[in-house]
Amino acid sequence: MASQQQPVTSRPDGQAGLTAGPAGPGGSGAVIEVEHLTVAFPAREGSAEVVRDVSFAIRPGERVGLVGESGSGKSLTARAVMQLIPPPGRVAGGRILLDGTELDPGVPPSRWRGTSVAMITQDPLSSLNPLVRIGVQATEMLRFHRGLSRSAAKAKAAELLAAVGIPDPARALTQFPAVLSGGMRQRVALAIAISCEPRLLIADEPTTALDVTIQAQVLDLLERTCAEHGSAVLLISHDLGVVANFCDRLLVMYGGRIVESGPTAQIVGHPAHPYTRALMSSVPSMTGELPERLVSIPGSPPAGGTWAAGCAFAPRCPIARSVCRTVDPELAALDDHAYETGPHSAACHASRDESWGRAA
Amino acid sequence: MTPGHLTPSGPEAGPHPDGAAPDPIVEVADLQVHFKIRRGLTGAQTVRAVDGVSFALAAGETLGLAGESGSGKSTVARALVRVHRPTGGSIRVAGVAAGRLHGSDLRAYRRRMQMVYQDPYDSLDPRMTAGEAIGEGLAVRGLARAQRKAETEALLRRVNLPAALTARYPGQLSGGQRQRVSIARALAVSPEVIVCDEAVAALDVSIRAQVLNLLKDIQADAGVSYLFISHDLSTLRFMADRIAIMYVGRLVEYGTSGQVFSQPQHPYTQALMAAVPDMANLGRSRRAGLTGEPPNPASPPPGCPFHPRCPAAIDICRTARPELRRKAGGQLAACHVAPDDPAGPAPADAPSTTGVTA
Repeated sequence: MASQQQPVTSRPDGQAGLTAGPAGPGGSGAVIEVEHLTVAFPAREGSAEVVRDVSFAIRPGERVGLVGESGSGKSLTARAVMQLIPPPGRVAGGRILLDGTELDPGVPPSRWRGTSVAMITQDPLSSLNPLVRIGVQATEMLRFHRGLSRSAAKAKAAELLAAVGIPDPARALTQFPAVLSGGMRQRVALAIAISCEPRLLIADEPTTALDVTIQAQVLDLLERTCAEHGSAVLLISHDLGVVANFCDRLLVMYGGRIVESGPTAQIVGHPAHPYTRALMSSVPSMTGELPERLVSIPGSPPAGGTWAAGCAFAPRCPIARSVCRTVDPELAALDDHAYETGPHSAACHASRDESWGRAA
Repeated sequence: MTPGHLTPSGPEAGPHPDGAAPDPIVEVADLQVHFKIRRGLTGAQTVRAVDGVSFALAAGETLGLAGESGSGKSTVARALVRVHRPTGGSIRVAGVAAGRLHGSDLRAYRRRMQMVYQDPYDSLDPRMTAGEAIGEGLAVRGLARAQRKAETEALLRRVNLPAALTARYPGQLSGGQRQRVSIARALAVSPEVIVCDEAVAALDVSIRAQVLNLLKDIQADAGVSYLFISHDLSTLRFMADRIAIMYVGRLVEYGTSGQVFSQPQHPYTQALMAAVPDMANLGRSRRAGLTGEPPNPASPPPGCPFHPRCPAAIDICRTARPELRRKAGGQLAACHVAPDDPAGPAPADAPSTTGVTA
């Protein structure tokens, strides 16, 4: 794994071979556009909307982070993109465009899964079949999508496994997933996900089950591999530190909605939504003065679909006022400044107040 | 035979500036926990899950124990609450040797030493209401039924839960509430020490801060000591007075929080800290990270078990296992490369974990 030390200079914005174009969110040129996505599950009365009116776009090669706590709807957003909403849940509204084209419901997802969008999950044991040798699983997509012969696919798979740092790729191909450590399994899952050079890789909590030194290795590998293959990344995590250190742009979810979005440095430096602010100060830092007590958010995150009237965060919000309990605030740009990666927006009634705005 | 000389010293050492904790509530010396595993039909192998660990815990203080999976940190915890019986070494709690207790003595011991697990279901019976789970501990303490109800409600209030939750089953509580109930259940027997094994790891970030604040409040009120086990160094920095870092069954660094976090001496500690994704250091390179994975505890490498991953390894690291010695920062570290404290004891007097016996 000495190759990990070599500097990687290719940043998404500086990549050759990609026709990114000057696309803004929602504009043409985005690998994925999610517009007003709503995911609903049947409930005792009618249905519960666990993802509500979520819109975002990701440009080629961009790295976007989706942060939220359990029940915030972040994983279901990803699953909606993959058309993997577990029944009886369903996409109740909105549309998803891949490379500017809406998915045709008549086309089986296996046509585009892996080539347009691929996904890795928290525990590769749930995405890898435990009863099938890695060699079969790693060559499946290459044969199906690329039409490679059995031997050519095997050679390509060995090459991919070597590139993600599997020590003895030829041997690994003959093994079952359970033989490998968690870190190695995640490397295999990444090698498979990237094998057909998807335009977008969704990584749902890819390092949550891993030790911290292995987490650093896998994130490093994810960054390098996606840059090499020109894939954009949607990194989903509950850990603000992980996404902030990996992504160009962040989306913060709470109560099924995006409550803040914008360039990473902007959100970390000037968080606008009270939830983002509280989230950031509730994590002890590794440097600087330690507080006597951590800033904590009272109450618990709401269960999916059981949102309060008005702003879903209002019951826990330190600055909530009467309007917050009746009107759900729109996600709106905070200023007219044109950041390189898109506007900084927040869904908060207070975010446009003079006293609140840039005080953080 | 106190392990006092193993206690790190320094200006930030708090209640024991001379290095020796006065009346430590827990003294662990050269603790060993070995497991026999079968290999094939006839073969047997010994896994040294914990192999010579010494530390002391003073009343009202928090010792943070960090390490990756397989480092043996949870085995230390389970040996302390006597789920595992130590293979060697000694555990003394308030002067009582715990290694060979059984029967009523062991029950009395477990009243002083409680454990809070990562998954509250490890300590809560899903068929027992919160009130029953807490009441059980109160009954052990000998409280009459009438007193128990009032005391249960007091404990629930102590962990910031409404008394109305007594009738709820664990399945009817949120994750954060369940973990509070397991803390209340642990407090019910008025323990002197609570072992928290990844107690907040499964909680949402916003809930985690609440529970960490609560644990600190309880410590300030009740003077309870914590052995706080976590893989999350930033949480330990907030919680712990002193830090012990484990790698493959042994301590590799042991010092006050100030010493270890400001001047980590062992290359493993340095790598662990560098790997924490911190928002205060955005964009700092992740690429200085460790290569390789922790070794299998059943077959650790010879010499220093960290040498195959160590960026600073020299020849001696491949053959000789380093002992814990006092380093320049004042803490102890087991590393051939990190410079020893020039003012520290001569090598002949150097602290040796293997020299301490029960």
